[in-house]
Amino acid sequence: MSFSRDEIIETIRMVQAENLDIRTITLGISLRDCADESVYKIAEKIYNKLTQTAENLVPVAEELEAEFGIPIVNKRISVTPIAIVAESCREKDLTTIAEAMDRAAKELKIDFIGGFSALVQKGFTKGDINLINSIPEALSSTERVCASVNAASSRAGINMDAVLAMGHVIKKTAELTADRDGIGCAKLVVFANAVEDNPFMAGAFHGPGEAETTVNIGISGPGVVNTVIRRLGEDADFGELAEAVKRTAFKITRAGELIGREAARRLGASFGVIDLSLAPTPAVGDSIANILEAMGLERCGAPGTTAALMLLNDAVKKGGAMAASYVGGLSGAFIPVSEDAGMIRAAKDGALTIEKLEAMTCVCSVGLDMIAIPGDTTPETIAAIIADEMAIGVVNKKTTAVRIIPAPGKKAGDFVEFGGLLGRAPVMPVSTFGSSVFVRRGGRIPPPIQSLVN
Amino acid sequence: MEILVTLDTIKNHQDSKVLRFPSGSLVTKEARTFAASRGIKIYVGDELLEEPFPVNLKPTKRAVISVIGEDRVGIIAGISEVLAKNNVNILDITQTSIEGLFTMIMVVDIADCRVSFDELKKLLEERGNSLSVRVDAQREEVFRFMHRI
Repeated sequence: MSFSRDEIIETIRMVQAENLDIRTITLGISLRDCADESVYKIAEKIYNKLTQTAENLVPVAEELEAEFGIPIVNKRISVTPIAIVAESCREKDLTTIAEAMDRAAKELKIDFIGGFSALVQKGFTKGDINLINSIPEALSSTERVCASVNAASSRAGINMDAVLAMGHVIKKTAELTADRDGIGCAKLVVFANAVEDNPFMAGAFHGPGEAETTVNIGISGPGVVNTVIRRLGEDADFGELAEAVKRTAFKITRAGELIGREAARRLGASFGVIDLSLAPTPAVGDSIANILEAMGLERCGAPGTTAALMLLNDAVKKGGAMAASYVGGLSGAFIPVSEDAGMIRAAKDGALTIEKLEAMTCVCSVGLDMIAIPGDTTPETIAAIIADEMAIGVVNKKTTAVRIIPAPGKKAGDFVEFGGLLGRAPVMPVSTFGSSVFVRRGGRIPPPIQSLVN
Repeated sequence: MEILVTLDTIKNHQDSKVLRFPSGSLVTKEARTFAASRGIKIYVGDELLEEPFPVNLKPTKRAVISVIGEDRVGIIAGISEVLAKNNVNILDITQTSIEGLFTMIMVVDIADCRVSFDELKKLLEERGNSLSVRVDAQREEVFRFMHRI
């Protein structure tokens, strides 16, 4: 037989017992041909293009799932940043466009559509301003649309005007979706060094340098890695840990590579990238925190957590890079608090704080992700949290992001419930010392000396 | 004149059977693969472009069927019957039964299968239920990709 019995059993066990799955097939679609002067015309063009271009996305994904026996959890679409598409639009309110995207998403039965986005790391155009102003209304009147704003880059520095504006936008979005614990903010990301081919939500958009349509794949499998590490026991040294993670990451990524190529072929789209991210879900056993704990930490967040995460993140990349022909997207372990049962437990027990999470984002992807904070946190404090995270990304030439939810009416220790993949989260305390003079200075923090690489 | 012919150029002419481009046009591999999958012939000048050979993904028509459950008489017979009825050839088979736990793995050729793969899976699943075992069928590529470099 061309495969040993053990190899076949291993694959079956990964899928059935350890939650191995393809986290997402994201079809990137260019909307650059949908520009117009009327917001209604744009909305109509976008709806038509999306429903025609992505018509086969869900059927093809289901076909692949059945043939290859590997679940594909999410089917998503990312589009050209809407600020670019709507640049020459007369109207200032772009909510109509978000609503058209939402309708198309529902029609196509996809779960999220990303790209209600603007890239403003160095400054704003008319389209950017209109988009940012429309975010709270757009996110509260739609279900599946995700928004993102790139506010900093290693080359441009940090646009502090955008950072402060986003503090207010996040606050406003939370207020408009107060009846659902501020769920609008779960669909809104502020980035430094945003990538153009990210398949993961809420930060996915189809960058200006991408092809007309592109298939990007996000892999998953924290449960598989967790099992491998637990099986090694307490005596394995770090070299052995890294080796085991690398081997496992290779296998997981190969599954993604196979599905990605097939999906691109059947959809008649270019094959973009495999995103080597380990992404958790709220399901028991599908947790990044549990992997770190399996390495020997009593709780995620204990001293040593950052080092453990660095090892994990690096080994996943090394194994995955061998397995995929094109690696891209965010590629790193995710640490979204509300979407990871182990993180939730650690935060609830007081082992994990925002400050520790911030440190962890220096060595992994992506940033302060799905963190609920008290509803009375000021826009200035939120902006300052964003600025800190942007600084980490800009200096380390990596992508960082903030997806934070100031849960209306909640205080530290309460719980917010989003349901589904977005999970539930304990409200984490935030420093009560103010930063408002700092964030109101305005202008741009210049790019660091590291950016002068030519 | 078209200097570069990409996947999207071909997509815009999906209904054609033959596409002609002036000699000297460059046709990307992605575009050629797509055209081949839709049965479109591409001419550059007078020259017919050949279908690109998929270096990394040679499609096979094999599947792996795995059966796990409590050992009893007639499991292999039951599963094989479903396969035979649908013209699926068994290429390889291995089975063990340790302490009552039965596992069987088959590599089969589905090239001439009478029903779709999805349908075959359903038939196997039904038979598995009546035998009280779990039956899975997956395309062989999954194992090749995950376990072979």
